Amino acid sequence: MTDKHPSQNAMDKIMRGEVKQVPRWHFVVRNIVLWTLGILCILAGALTVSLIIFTFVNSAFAMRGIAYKSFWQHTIVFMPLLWIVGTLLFVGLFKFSVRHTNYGYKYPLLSILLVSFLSSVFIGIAFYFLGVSHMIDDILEMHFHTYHSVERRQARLFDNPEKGMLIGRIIQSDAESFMLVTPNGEKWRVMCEHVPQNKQHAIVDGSRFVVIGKKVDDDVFVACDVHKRGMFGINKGVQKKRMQKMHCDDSCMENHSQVLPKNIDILVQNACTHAQ
Amino acid sequence: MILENTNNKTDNELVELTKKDPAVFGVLMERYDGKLLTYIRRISSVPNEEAEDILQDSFLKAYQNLNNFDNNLSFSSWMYRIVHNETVSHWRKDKSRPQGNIAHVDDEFLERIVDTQDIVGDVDKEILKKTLEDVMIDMDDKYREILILKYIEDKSYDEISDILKKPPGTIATHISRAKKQFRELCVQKDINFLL
Repeated sequence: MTDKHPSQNAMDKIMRGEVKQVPRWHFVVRNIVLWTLGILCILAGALTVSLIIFTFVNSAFAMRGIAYKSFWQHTIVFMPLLWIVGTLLFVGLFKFSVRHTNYGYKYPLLSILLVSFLSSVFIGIAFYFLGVSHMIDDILEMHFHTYHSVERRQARLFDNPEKGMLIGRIIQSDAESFMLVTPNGEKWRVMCEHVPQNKQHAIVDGSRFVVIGKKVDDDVFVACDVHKRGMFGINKGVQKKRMQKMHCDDSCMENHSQVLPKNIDILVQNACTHAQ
Repeated sequence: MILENTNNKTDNELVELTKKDPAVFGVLMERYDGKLLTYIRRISSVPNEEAEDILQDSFLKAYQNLNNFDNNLSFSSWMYRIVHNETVSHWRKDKSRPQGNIAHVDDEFLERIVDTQDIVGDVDKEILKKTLEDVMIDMDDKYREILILKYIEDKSYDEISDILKKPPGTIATHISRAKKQFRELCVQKDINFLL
């Protein structure tokens, strides 16, 4: 510090060109970046909200009673912890970006958080109904081996033939049996003679079911009861892709028919007596 | 040419002129250097030389960021904000250096606080000054500054909101808490109030 007054010192530096004005475009770009970040946070928050909805709606809590896991195991399997943390993170990031804009400080913290959260929820609901969450769920499963899609998590609860339970989609059916493909890609021939009459009519190609019964062979299962278990918030593109992947033509059905055990009639007759 | 007739120009007009001629910034600095220097000393209790350094850095920062100045804001509030930020960052940088707690209570400060807070002022001025310095030292930093802005610098709620970059509602709450804390500390130190 020299003996001069601070304003004189500052003026000298300015006039010598040691300090220059930051160009206007720099601040314009900064503001655009902050608002873009804010909008992206809302959209990302909406995606996580839609994934929370998608997970909860498809968590099959209504069928918790028939799953072979406890309430807590069921809850842990379906708890969308990652998406809850993600939502909170994006709500926080939105607050950060808004607060750093020119007039962001004027808005109370609670208002910013509410706007961010409610926008994420409303857009998230729209995303869910548009099937965006299903698509993201599918993409994540394709690219990250550690990620388990909701369908696969359902399988963890309901796909256990050894304990008399299967979950999957019917790809072909006739009067006595149907072909079921599990989320893990396994194909089962399911004998459905013992299924209650009032549920028989629901057994149509493309439907998704939880099947209760007994495994009688490597890929043959006898159904004693079935519970329709559709997926909600589905994306038609993802659905179509999965159906194509599961596709089973007549020859496939015949191949499975050929491997039916010789004593199948007795096995079918006894299966449900034991299961009950 | 531009430097002529600058005295009757508003701050915001001078900001626009500075963008064309940097020399005009000198007029703005002259208008504020006294006020801001006192403000720095009041909120930070740094020695005069350091306060001058902070002020110089604040002026340079203001000049650098002149293109970010929004005409909807008053230049005064913007300048106070920069000074506030520079003071805080200076304080953070030198936090490790022991400075001792000193509060700067000047004559104007004393008069205004006596008037605005209904303090019984007919006691020895120097004793009252010393006691008020102790009160200011004991106050929380955020309350001390807000009290200074409101009652000593005579800033409105909106101006304080612009200076401290906090919502007006929060400012109102902080002012009320600052007054409460100030009164409690005054009572502890036997300062009497009119009411």
